[in-house]
Amino acid sequence: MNLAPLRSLVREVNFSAHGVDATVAIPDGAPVATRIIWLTPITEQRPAGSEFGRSEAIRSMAIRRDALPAVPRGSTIAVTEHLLSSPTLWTVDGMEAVFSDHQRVIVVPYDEQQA
Amino acid sequence: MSSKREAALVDLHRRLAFISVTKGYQTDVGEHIFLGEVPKLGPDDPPALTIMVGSDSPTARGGQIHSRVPIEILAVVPADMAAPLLTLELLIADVRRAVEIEATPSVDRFLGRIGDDGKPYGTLPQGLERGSVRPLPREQGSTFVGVAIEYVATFVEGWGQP
Repeated sequence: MNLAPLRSLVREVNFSAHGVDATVAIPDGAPVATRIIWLTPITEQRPAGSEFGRSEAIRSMAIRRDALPAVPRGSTIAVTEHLLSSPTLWTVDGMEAVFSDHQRVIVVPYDEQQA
Repeated sequence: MSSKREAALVDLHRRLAFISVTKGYQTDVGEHIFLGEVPKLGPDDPPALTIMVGSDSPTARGGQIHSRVPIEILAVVPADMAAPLLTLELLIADVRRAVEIEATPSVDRFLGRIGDDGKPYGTLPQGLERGSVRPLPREQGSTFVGVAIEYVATFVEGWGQP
């Protein structure tokens, strides 16, 4: 039994229902319009290794691979959140996992001074 | 009547409170100092540090009690995302300068206090010693770095005379 069409349908439904519009720009690449899904942030005490730290939400998102097969570290992502009209900027800080149809990246707020 | 330990901690707190950008330092961690407390800070709270006092190890010699007391200074600041290691070094340098020279130079290693006569009175007979520095580097997805800087203070006390 070929489940590929069903998987494709699930992916499209997920990115349509849970996703938000985003524009991804990889370093030295042209911006690409796509959709991303915010994954549940993990709140941790950072930096690790000391009892004195700060509660910080580690943010990650799923990005479709059909439009962007690779999203290297340093890529910037403009995401227009629900209830907002203008996009917020994020920088890819690391790769969490790569799947056949999407990849999960860890992001931090875009730092203008770094650009 | 304050004890030598209390006087030393008060002086250490006073020195660390100098750390602010407006006073020529690189960070503002001295503007909020906790003493022996580990609060749950969020990402939007101001930069801060905390002073933790460890377990001492007293020994008796010549009728006096010598106690070596580790004092750890923990600080966490937003990282320079391009070079988080440099943020750590700025933080270490700020704490070093504040603790080691931001006082009357003649007593800077002795955690002195200024008496009513305006003269410095050191609390530590041997002065502060440097301990280890434990960097807390930036991790993936985080925007903070920190450092734990240890000093060791030796107190000499008589029995019943803290």
